[in-house]
Amino acid sequence: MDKAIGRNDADDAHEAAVVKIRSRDVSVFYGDKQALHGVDLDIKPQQVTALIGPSGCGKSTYLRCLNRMNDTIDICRVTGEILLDGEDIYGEDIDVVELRADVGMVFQKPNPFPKSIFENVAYGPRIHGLARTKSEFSDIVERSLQRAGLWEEVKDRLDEPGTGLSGGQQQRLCIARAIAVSPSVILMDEPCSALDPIATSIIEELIDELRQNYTIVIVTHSMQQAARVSQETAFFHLGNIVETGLTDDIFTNPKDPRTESYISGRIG
Amino acid sequence: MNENPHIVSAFDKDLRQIENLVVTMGGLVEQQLEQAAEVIISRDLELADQLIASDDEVDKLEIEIDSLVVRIIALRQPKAQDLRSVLAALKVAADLERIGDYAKNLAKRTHVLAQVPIVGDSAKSVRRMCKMVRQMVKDVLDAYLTRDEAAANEVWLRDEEVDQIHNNLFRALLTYMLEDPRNITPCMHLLFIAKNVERMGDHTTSIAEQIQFLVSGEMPEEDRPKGDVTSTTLVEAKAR
Repeated sequence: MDKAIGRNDADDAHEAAVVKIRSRDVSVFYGDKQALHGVDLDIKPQQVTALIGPSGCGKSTYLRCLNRMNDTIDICRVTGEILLDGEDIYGEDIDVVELRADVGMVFQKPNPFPKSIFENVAYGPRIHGLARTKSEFSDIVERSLQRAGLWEEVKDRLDEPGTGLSGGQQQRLCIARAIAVSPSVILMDEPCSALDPIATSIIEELIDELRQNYTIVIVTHSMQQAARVSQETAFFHLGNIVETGLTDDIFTNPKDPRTESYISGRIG
Repeated sequence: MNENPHIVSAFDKDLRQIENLVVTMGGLVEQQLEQAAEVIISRDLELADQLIASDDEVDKLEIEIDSLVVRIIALRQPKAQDLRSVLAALKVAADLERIGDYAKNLAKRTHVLAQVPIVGDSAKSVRRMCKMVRQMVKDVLDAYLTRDEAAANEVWLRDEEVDQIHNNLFRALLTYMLEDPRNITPCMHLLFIAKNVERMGDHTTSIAEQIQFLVSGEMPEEDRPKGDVTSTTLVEAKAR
């Protein structure tokens, strides 16, 4: 085999190591309206990738493609290719429920189940059959709450309702719930927009810790937050990716004038 | 450069104000250099004192720029080009302040020089250096206002000529001192003055570098051509 020309296993292995999610020519249509226009993006493992852009630019639409949340919208159609660890997530033999366990999601408003704190975290592992005995469940719940930085605050009241926690705690409970089913990717859609600055800082600190073990993709409207928590940033505009790169570069010396205008709050 | 206005118009106002302050400060420093070029020959002590007094104004402007930059960073979290422009203003102001200090020091030394005999043509060489640096400061501030990277680069390269005059002056002053110990006092003061003017040139090149950073987001890659060799110059007494 001609190594100079042909691809080999080593190339593929290398690529898998440096790209967790590979998107090629991803377009999304809501009925006749096209929301995304052929997006190409490589998301690297164990990093935080921030998606920024004005409202309606397609960043949340793109995020929702990554665990097929758009499937729940009848008129929505996705074309192109999204590979997770080299596997097409829109392939025929993909189990969407398993996919969503591997690619967890945290939403803008904390949305704990109307159940106890324990049950909020144990629910996922139960339906996925990840634990059988009471002690196995307890282990998962404790580990997940610890990783989400909530354990110390709730360990003595696990049977109280999750909805009784503060907004920031609820959001961390939702992160613990996502972590409980051992995902490799966590998608976050403006996870701090309903939180006060202190709760926001706690979540940001948590995001920084979580990236040791997870690949994180975050949609945020806060430029400062994108700059603080992410290593890579993609700027979306009118359904296209205008610019991607290291966060440090995007926020100090962006290449495209549209990125410059957006991040510096200019008209245009 | 992105010329689009900010959505929050007060931000544009802040940025314009900072630019105006830098230019005002630069204008004062230019004036100081003009006066310096004059007093070094005329030894007009009244003018020297005016120069010394004007440095307070320069210092105040630097403080004003500093606090405005701090306010903009705290309130507006500038990014990209905006961030570069406030950082550049901060650094340019610091360089201008240093140049002003050196000019003030020259004026102070004029009081001593006025009491001792003139030695050779050295003062004229210092005047030439002052005039060159004044022109460099003017050109670099024009480049700052117009965001002209090429013009900034041209100033950046021009400093080598100032260094050359300084080299020659250094050698000449050492020789005068060797010739007659009575020359030592005026020559030492002129030596310090010449060194200070040479440093002013260096600060001007630093401003030019800030402008390049402001415009392109990158500092100049190559090293600036440096012509100052006085650190390694040896002038020995002739055998009698």
